[in-house]
Amino acid sequence: MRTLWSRREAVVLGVAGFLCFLALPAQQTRADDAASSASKTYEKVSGVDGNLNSIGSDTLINLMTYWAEAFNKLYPNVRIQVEGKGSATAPPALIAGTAQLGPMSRRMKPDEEDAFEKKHGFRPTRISVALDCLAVYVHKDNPIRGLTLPQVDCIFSKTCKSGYRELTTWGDAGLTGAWATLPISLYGRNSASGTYTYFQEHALLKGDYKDTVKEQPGSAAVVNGVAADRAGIGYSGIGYRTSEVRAIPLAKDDKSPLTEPTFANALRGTYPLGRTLYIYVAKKPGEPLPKLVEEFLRFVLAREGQDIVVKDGYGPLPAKVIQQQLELLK
Amino acid sequence: MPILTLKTVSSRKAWRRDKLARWVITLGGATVIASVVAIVALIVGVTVPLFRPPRAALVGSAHLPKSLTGNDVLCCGIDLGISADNATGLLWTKGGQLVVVDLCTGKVRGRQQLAPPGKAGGPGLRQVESLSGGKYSLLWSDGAMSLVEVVAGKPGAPAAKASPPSLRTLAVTPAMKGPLPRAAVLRRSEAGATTRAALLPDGTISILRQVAAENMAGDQEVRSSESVLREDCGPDIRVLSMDRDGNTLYAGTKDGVLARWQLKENGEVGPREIARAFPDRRAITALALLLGDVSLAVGDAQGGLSTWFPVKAETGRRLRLAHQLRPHRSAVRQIVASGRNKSLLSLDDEGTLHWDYVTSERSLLSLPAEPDHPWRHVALGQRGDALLAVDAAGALRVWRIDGGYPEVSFHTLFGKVLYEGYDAPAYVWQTTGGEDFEPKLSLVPLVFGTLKGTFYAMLFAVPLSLFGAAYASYFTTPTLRQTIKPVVEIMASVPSVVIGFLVALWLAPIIERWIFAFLISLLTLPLVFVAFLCLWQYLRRMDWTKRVESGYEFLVLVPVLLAGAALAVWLAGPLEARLFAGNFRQWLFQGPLGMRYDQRNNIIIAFGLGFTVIPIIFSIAEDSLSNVPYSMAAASMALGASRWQTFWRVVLPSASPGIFAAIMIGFGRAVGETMIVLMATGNTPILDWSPLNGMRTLSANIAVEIPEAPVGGTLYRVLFLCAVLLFLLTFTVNTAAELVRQHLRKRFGQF
Repeated sequence: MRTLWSRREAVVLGVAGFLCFLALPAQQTRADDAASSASKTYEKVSGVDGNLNSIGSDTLINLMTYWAEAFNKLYPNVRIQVEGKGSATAPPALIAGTAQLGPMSRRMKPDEEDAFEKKHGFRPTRISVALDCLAVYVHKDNPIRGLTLPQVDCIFSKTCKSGYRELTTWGDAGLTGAWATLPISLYGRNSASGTYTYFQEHALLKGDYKDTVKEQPGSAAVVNGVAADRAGIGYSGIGYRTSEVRAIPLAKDDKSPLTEPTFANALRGTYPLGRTLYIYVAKKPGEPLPKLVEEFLRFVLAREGQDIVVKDGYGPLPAKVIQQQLELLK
Repeated sequence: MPILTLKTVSSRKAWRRDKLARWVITLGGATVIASVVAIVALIVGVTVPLFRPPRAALVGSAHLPKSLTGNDVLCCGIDLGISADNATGLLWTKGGQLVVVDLCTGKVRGRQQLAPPGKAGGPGLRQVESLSGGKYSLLWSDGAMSLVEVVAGKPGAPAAKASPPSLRTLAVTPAMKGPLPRAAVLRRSEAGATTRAALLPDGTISILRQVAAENMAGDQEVRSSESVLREDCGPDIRVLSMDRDGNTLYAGTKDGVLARWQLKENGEVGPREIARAFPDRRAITALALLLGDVSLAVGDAQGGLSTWFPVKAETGRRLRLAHQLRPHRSAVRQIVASGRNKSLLSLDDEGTLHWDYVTSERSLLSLPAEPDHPWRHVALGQRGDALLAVDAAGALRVWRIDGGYPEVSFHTLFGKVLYEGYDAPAYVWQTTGGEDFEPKLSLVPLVFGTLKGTFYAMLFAVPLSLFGAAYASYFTTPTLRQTIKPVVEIMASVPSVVIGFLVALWLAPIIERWIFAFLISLLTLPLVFVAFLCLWQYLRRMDWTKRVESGYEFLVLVPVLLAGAALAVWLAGPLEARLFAGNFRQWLFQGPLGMRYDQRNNIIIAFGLGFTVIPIIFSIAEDSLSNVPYSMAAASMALGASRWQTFWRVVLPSASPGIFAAIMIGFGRAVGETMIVLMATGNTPILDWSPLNGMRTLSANIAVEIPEAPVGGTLYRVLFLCAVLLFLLTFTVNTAAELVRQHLRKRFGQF
């Protein structure tokens, strides 16, 4: 009977495939080692069960889902529900008590903290959980080398507070040839997003966005929009990068060098749009958190939680910061 | 009058069933009407508080200890604590004391004697300025300055035992040699740079800047630089003000001139910018910076209160008058900016207090002074909800104030407003930003967007569906009609999310690539169609065409239309290369039209919305056309009219009420459609009729913004106002349409 491969060939292929398969976890462990040196392993405790609700940031939604899955494996009696419509949905949820965890990709504004304090009598507790780089994405065919922050400001805002001149075409931003007369097509997030507010504060210097920024409902939608639009530019978390887009290097001003959006650069301070991702909880001063919430946060700050952060494309916290957060949980 | 009565019905059972059915149906109808009314009442009920006037309620009064009078007080502040029970008033006196008064009981809770930095005792205070966030800038009699922060006492304990607030010194500057300043301001930026500007008696301004930095060896060192501004504003400068970070200095003179300097990080001072604020040269008596440090509030000697901010001019940015607020009757002596929103508290020499919101130019509160006790000092609580006033005799009063929704007025919702940082008044919708953001709540771009999207959708959908309905009901065979109608109705069952998703991610890039071919097809399709009709006149002589003409014309037309589209695609390439140098979109942008092509635009919205609206209009129009009794058409054709003449002059007028109703229902659906518009446009609030860019509709706006709006806040209620507007729009159009429909019914007879 004629077959595709002879018996010898089939055996060789099978063994080779099996060896490749074995090599994959080894790759994984190497990445884990890099991250896990900062945090300790999580120690399981007893008596953890119940429902846990998380309402908040869209940037953190994948991360929260992975954490929830892994936590569920440790404690099968825990049911975790994750919802991510934007950071601005977290404070109302924490105030109303519909969620115990409020992931946010920006800090709470003073009036949100006031409203929380009015309801509960104490201020909310902010736990840092991961590092993020806010990347500026362009289409993969776009040849631009990089942009300075004033240029990014004047591309996205109509108030141009950094003082740079107005930029409407890719030629104004420095490209030549066919790109020179192509108008820049802007993609951004909607106003419920913490990413929107963070970008407005740090890149636009609290100015106003242009009316022509197309508001997308989620971080992935921004990247999809830019991927389909040759003249597109948009901002989103670095974890949402795909092969269809380029995350361009940014410089703080004309005199600083262009730096790539990596976590090492963000920690050093050379990449200007690095930020911390937070989870807010309602912790009464002097009293511990409910056991379920506390154990979840300990899990997030432990080695397993930080490994998941790396897996999703975000940056793990440095050891010193993890210690500080664990102190806040006491 | 019931048709069925006990006498006419065969059995009692049938009569009872009939009565029951009548009651159930009446109940159902009444419930529907009641729910609609309830929904409208709910959304109007959430919207109406937007226009509620602001309120103030006196909650406490106290008196200074007898050793002090109102004239000893330099400044006051209010610390509300977590609950109103902890309201304390802080009073700074000339002797260098901080008096803490419990505003609910009226008792003095504590007095602290303060000393300037570096000295145990000594000179008193000359000037105290309150800044937002519980900070105060103190000018001592020897020229030294301190920036202190009042930190609230420990919460939790009952008011009587609560510890008094403590002071934390944030920055100090040393005593000044030489003449003592008339006025001075001290600021400390978040990065740690301290800036002091002092107005000396001879009219010059002395600027001291201290920056703490780490040098190469890793040690902390303080670099200070001092400079004196001797420009010819001269001895006329009356008041100074500086922004929170110490980067911009403002001065006002007695001739009504405003001056502005930029202070650079390395201690240098940029060139002076002058603005002649008042042509009648009235003196400027008070200056303050609004929250966000962009707008400058100017109070003058004749009681006028206005705000100014820098606007792009030929040479850089120049100060420009932005808003005029309610004038006082005497000179303005103090302006306090709110730490929570863009509102201002102002006090005049007569003692009257005004609280105004700048963007909408609304006057929120006006508290006249009591005849013998004019207010001398005022303070606003940190959260903007409490007001403290001190009069010359030493009496203190506290009000709990509620500004309502000051950002909203008819003018800000529907008129052009000049916002901070903008060069001209504009219609803008941008609601969210950081903590010192100015909410821009103009509904004009949204209403415009709704009308624009609906217009293009109806332009696409109405001709297609009406002619389709006419063909399906009248020109084709009954069997075909029975097949076409359900298929079109299935179109209505596709979820709008799916349509929006497909349009945004699949159709948009296709249309973007083939836009020129699409525009050419609008010409070639009719041309090819007409050419085919001419050809058909010759082909008609053949026999097989008779079978086609009995209702299967569309089968022959489909290849013709495809040929027209193919022709457009075939012509597009060479035409684009010849006329537009190969790039039509570039020509649109750079050529005489200056139009931008956006991938998410009204053409794809027209397709998407059309897809949802076509089945509705088609269904209803087709029904009403079919309901015209065939006897009328038969009679008409028997008298010798052609099919088209019969349709146009007999069938269509009879069915016109129904067709009109179909179009109106389709319009209502297009206006309210949310998901397609949300996903397939970029939700850009622009005012532009071009079909080549997007828009933001009222419905999509509600969907996008409501998760972010805090319940009961301004944005929340404005979104409900959007819902009310949508309702009014549809209600007005439907009512007008119903009136037209009734008129058509009367005119064209029995249907």
